[in-house]
Amino acid sequence: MRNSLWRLLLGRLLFGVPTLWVVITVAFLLVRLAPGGPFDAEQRLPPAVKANLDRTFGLDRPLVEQYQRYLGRVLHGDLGPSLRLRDRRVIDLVREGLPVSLTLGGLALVLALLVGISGGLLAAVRRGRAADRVLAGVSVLAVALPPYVTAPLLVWIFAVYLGWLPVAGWTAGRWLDLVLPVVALALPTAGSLLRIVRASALDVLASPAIQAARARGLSATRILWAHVLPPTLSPVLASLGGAAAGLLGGSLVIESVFGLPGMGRFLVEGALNRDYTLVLGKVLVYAVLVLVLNLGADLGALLLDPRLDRRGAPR
Amino acid sequence: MSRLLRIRLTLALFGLLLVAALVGPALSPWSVAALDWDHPAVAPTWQAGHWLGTDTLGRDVLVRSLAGLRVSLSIALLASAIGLLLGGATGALAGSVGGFVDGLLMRIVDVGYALPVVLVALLLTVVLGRGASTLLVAAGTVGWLSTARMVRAETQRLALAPYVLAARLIGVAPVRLFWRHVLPNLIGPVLVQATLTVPSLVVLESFLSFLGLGVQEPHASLGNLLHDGAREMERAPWLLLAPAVLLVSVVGALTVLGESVRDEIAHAD
Repeated sequence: MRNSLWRLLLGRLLFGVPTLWVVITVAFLLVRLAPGGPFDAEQRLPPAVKANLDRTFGLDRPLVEQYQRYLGRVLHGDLGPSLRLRDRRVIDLVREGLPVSLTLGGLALVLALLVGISGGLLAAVRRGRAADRVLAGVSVLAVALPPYVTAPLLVWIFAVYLGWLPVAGWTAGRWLDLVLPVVALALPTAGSLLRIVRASALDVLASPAIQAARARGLSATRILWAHVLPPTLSPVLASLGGAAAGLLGGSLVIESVFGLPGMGRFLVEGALNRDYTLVLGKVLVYAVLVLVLNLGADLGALLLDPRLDRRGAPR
Repeated sequence: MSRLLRIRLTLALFGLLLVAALVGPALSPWSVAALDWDHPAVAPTWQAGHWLGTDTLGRDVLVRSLAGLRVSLSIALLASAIGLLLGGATGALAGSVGGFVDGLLMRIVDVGYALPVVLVALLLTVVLGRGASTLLVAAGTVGWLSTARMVRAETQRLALAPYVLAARLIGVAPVRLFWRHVLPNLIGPVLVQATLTVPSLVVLESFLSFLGLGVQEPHASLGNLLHDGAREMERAPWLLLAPAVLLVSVVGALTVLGESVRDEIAHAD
């Protein structure tokens, strides 16, 4: 076990570092190839002012030199100053937004896992009965309804019509603010997890191991928790990396709908008005997050299914 | 519900939506951008001829939703085609050549998977500007990854199939082997993949347009209609409901269709 854990970690590191380098380089080139610049405004700046601005931010240097300087700074954990938000450093913006986004995404992931796993197990156990059919319908709906549709609908029902929850906003420590965003973000993931768990649990239920457990006279509850659940979760873990990346994307929209001060804040505007450093920095942080989440999912799969150990680390 | 019945029903629903999106706007007296000054923001009604109401500028919601569906579907279908061709070519090349080429191409795919779709689209927006063509490129770039993996696996499996081995044995040249014996058997799985790619790209399109990165006013797409609807939710909920219902039906129908066809094929083997 220990051996393959290290191999997995090492392999991921060997893959992760070049991946991040490619991400930075491609993103840097794409952003810089774009027409227009951060200081194009409705009113054209006097040339002297623009030249000054360019010099301050090093934009007057050759592209290669700018790239080298940017890489060097990133290696020192500095993402540079934002070009449009005056006196803000990108790393500070990340530091402000990341906790909000991680809370939102983390809670949504937990909720999606709880709903998806329990719902999927229930549907598999009650295969073909009313509960299964209802869950099948609901999960298709949940998958087909993107968070930007459910979010306003939920707001309308629970905040405007019933008045139980706040419409939008974010005050640190006010957990009620989080309920609607988390639910809206979790729904599609919960739906797809439910479908994966149901299919996987049906396979497991049909396996000889379960038949043997039944023959030994184990109680239905014990069979479900000790014999059906663990093997059922393997494909769930395999899909978790993708699900987490999906949640990251979804949180962008949820943050804008509910006005949460997360990582997505300023990002779309930044892309539209050519805030190079801000876009690059946030994209880089997102890429690191996705790599870490994928690693976590792989480690989880390894711990849950020791057979992967013998076959070598999963890719 | 039997699988075949499910396939027929979802196919019928999708066909209905497709026809409505293609023909619907032409049948209505209103056009996509026409303003009805006498009836701004009216609720769904039979009298004024706006069956699903109008938006705040007095544009017909039914016509705009159907036109939006047409735009969203066109983008999704075209982008799927791009993605399938690109991904299919990459996967087939990696799978049949193997070795260094295979390793290199698959690492590229791995890197692609490590990036959230939204960010790729965001970066592309910076370069290409906002609009439908950017959406196409973004969706195509994203759509090819899963196709490449699937086609590669399938190509490798087919390369070991007895009939392909037999063909090799009697001396069929590699290129001819691929075109005549492997490629025809790749088409089926790729088509199934397509039915699952299209709905995810419809969602992606609406997602980006919702963020303001995609189709721009006065053109309609499901995404920017949903965005406008979400803003007017409290006063005019029908602005949100009409495009939402269309989006859910088209995505739901295609998803169930794709999965049923895939299961049907898997069980037929």
